[in-house]
Amino acid sequence: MSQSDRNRQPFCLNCFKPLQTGLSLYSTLFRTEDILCGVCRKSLSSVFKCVQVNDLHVFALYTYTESVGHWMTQIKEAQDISLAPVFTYPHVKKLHRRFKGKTWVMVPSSYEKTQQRGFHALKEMLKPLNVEVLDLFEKDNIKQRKSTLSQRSEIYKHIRIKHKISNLGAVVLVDDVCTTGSSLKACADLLRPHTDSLEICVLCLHSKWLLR
Amino acid sequence: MVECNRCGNTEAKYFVWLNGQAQCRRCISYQGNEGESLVYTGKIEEELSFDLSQKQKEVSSRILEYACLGDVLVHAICGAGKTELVLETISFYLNQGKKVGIAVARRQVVLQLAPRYQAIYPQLKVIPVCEGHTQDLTGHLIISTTHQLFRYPQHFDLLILDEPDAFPFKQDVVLQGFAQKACRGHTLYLTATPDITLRHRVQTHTLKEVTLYRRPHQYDLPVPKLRFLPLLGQILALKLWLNQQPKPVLIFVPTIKLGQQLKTVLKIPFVHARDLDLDMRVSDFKQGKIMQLICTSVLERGVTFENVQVVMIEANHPIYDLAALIQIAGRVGRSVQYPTGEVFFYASGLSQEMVQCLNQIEIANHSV
Repeated sequence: MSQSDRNRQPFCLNCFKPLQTGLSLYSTLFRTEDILCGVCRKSLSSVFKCVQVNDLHVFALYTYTESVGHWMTQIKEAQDISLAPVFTYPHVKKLHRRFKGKTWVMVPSSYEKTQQRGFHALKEMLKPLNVEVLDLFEKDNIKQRKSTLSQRSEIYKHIRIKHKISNLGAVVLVDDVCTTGSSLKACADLLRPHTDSLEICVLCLHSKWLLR
Repeated sequence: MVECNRCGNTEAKYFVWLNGQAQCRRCISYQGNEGESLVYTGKIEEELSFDLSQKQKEVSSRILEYACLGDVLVHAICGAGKTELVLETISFYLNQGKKVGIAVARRQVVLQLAPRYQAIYPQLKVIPVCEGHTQDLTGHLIISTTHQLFRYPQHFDLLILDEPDAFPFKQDVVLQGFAQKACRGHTLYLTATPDITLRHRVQTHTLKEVTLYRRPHQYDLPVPKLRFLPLLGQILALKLWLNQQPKPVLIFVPTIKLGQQLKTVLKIPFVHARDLDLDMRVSDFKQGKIMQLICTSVLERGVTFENVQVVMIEANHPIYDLAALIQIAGRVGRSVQYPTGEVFFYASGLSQEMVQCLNQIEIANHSV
């Protein structure tokens, strides 16, 4: 039995209850395949539209809620790699349709953190999409979670393109969480000269951007 | 069969396989450094500022006798001095160079117990290990939440589980697994309300039981007074009673929502488990800076307040099981200076648990 076969279980990846838990009759009949049960999936607040973040148009999948924060901590701090695909898993087809033919580039996380974790969290989150995600940037080892607002706005000083790059064509810049939008802006500014068009996609967006 | 080294899980559904290694996802969120126990080379003696009663001395000796042979259930009523009853056993184990840990379900109780034990054992390094206190994990005597026991795998020769029937330990198999894995010797269970599992172990002779049904001051346990009123009536009656009550009062509510409503109506501070000001408010109440405090079951056990009176709102709420009712009633009359007090159960109906609670208190009061 292969590793992926052993890991494919009919249980919710979060609460370990059967996948049918909390599903309505409609959802039971028409829901796309998922790795979370109905209750856990409902605890995520879906956005699935473009939102203005400063001067950027950002396509967001979910709002950053308490559940999302808990799961992000579990993936990144507790190294629970199995939980990583929960954000993209049921939206694979939609995301493929929306960003068809585009090159995926990810916002960087610090090298030290990734080494310590043993895996790249964002790459794992995007794995269900089965697309190549380019890791073009490098970032200094700074803790954004503990940074002040003004420190975050100066994140561009800590991000740079690793190697010389040629034109990338149409690009999707992707990040897991968008709080102030500073990292996205820094990366977008660095990428723009090397692209024909640039779209931005985040898995979880801070709710303050949705209230505007 | 694969077994998790931390929580003892053997159920296949909780394991994922990464690079050929099994990883238990049931306890994966518990991460951190492991702790260590120090061995004290001198003679260890407990320093108590008061003498134990004759009955307490007898029970204490019996606990030590049984704890050398196997697991023990110390079934003592609220306020019987469970902490003092196990001191002889703790000292005995420590003097043998063995490792002793005390585990409780709630962080609040750890923070209350640690200074008490430090005062009793001034020569030892007593460390609290709980959320916010995980920097120093090494000491002679470790007082930890059950959540933090994963830091001490196969470590303790004597593990004292205080209130094993308390939330969240009683229904959390991960925490129970941590406790099992942390203890390599014998376990002492201290409770006023043993659950069915402990009772079953006593019946099947895998656990020795020691009982103490009297408080050291020999006064009876206060019997709750029942007041049947609709919720609005309960709040009005409480308001009137509080106006003429000079003593400190703890008001228990079954839900956070009701607590917040009461806080608005009565202008009294409210605390619950997620409250960031919980420690500060409890400390203020203990020091008499505030005389009345609304709380959820977060303060139902393990905490002692001098001369406190207790009122329960909606005592018939399904959240209150028998153990919770007994524990809440047991907050009153714990100290020798203030051995009596009042407990009111305000309720909109009579629950089975309320009846059982009254019966159990009556039985304890009539036993010798």
